[in-house]
Amino acid sequence: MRISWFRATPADPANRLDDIAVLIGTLRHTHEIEVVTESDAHAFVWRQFLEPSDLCVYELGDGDAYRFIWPYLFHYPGVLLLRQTQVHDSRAASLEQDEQTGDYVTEFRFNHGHPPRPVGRLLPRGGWPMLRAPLLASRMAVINDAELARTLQADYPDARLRHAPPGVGWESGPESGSEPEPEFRPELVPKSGPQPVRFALFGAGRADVAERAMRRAAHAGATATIIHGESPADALRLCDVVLALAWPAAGEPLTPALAGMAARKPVVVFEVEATACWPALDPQTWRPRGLGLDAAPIVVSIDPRDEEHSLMLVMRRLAADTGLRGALSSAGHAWWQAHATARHATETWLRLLDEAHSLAPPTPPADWPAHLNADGTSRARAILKEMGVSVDFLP
Amino acid sequence: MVGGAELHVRSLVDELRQRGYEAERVTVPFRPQAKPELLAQAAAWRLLDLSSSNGQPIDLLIATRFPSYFARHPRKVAWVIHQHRAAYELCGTEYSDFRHSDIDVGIRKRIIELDREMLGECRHVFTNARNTAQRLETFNGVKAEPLYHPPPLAGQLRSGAYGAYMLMVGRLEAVKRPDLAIRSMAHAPAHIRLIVVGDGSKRRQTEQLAHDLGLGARVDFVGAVDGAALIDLYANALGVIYAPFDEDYGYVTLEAFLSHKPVVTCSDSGGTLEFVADGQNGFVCAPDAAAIGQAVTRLAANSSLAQTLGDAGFSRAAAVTWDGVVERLIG
Repeated sequence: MRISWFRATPADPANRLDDIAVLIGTLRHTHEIEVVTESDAHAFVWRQFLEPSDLCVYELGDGDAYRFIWPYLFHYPGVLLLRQTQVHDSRAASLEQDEQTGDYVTEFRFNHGHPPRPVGRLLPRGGWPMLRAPLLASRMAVINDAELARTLQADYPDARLRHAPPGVGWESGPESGSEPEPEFRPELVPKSGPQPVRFALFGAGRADVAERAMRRAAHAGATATIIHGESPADALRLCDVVLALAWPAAGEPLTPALAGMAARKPVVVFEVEATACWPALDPQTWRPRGLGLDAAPIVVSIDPRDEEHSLMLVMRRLAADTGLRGALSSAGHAWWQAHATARHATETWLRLLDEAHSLAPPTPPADWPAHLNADGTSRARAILKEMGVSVDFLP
Repeated sequence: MVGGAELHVRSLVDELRQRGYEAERVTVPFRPQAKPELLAQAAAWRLLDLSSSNGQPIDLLIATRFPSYFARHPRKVAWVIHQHRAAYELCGTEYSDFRHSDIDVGIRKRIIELDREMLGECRHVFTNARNTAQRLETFNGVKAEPLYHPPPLAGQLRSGAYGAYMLMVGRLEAVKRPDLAIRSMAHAPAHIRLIVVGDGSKRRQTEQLAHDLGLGARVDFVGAVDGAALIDLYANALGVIYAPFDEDYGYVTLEAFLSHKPVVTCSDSGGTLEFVADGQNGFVCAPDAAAIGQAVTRLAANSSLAQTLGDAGFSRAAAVTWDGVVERLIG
């Protein structure tokens, strides 16, 4: 199958923190996949005309980097790969570039059943889903969390929601345990005394909290540090503990946490919907919590309402408790092998792509906003209608 | 100012008449900037049934640029000057107003489909240059045959002295990159001037640029000039700077060569490169002011080099005639 895969960044399969890049690399064994980014999306239009892809996949999130994807997903319906459950802001950015204020109001109303608050030339940003239109435009929508898929399907019964597990790394690759030891980095070694336990933070906007928690932990005697200035891949490789603390949670894949498990690192996450079914330790009690009470804990999960304090507790305990770190990393690694490797994702995606290819795009509902499929013929149609004539290329 | 496309059509009508054909020019005003109107303008052409006029049958329709080939005729050929460039090869560059928006993607999708369909109605598709033919094949999957023709001033251009100025001719629009020619003068010898012929929406901005660069005294903006004045300017120039972005064909190159003047152009200047050979009849530079300035410096330092290159250019351009062109179009 020939697939055009729209995404915000080029796909580098070597980047284990980019689970979709790894997936694309794997799917290329069986499918011909062209990654379409903003810089080459213009060429997609004539390429698609001359040699149509069998399927388009639109990897959509909520940052400005995703805004270029919107027009294509409406004009060339395909598979919507949702990276978040709120995509309003990227759509607002898309509509803002041509000052489509009226279209924004129409589309917001279509998506949410009510108009937005009054808007000006600059469109508002906020935590709205803005999901109905992209879901109904797509042959299928895929999200990495099964529970989220069920919830979205209930919220949007006319859409076709599917679940594909995130896949990070291979059982037989470096994640299998044969990864070399972290390289010796003199700057990370203290002048004297025991080597600090190194925490790597993955989570935009959480650095201040983590630093405060670390200071408090150090004050309480913890020998620990937060890795600074490294690329995410290097931080993952060099660290002893992974802090996978994305917030606010909006359905994003838990790639850093899974990458940490794959790399045999103990992992700390927020207790959110997506992690609720993971066997976890509560740092306030150091007892199992969540739904998986019988299984060995694979992560430490933090209550977001007690973030700084719980994080401080985690840092103190994990800095000192080698055994706990080992137990968490072993259990996490085993869980990852059983549920979240690239093989799991690939097997699911192969099935989903076949299914999507066999499906027609859904028929738009009666209140479908006209601007979503505008093709520049409305003015011509209006003039011709006024005159009561027609031309053959505008049926 | 009349652009190359208008001159092309007028020349064709003249040539047809000289060969005994009754030929009429059909024009409908076109506003390329009005994106929501593009397909309405195409529809206007589609409404035209040109199979007869005043009760007389019309034997052949020769369409040229978008959207004239939307007109209806049972015997239609296209001699494509260019398509709606902003929707094609210029898209994604600073020279196009098409973006990743709902309407723009929809319009481009429609235009590409319709161009293919309308050109598919033609008995033959010709283009003014290889570059244009290549675009048709790349974007629409339409095979076309390039047919070169001489510029309207071909029979009148002549050689003169190799004076202390470079000439730039063309509409002052962004895609013609007048700014490159202006900036290049900062890298050329101080005694060399630049004469800019032409008008356009970027004129004021270009004049301001020359002023801001302290080049005001060395750059003359003479606006649109008549044929006789242009012939004189060509005749006495040291050479011609012609550095558009991805030009379709470009009369300026041929006009310069027919005046025995070398052409300084750029490696991304499109159809111009079908005629300019670096070091043989001009210079092909990187699209960079310093590189163009260096080429001008070489010409300024050695006017006999300018003459040698210009003479070679003349040989190349003199081979481009109307002979056979009309016959191919008439079929």
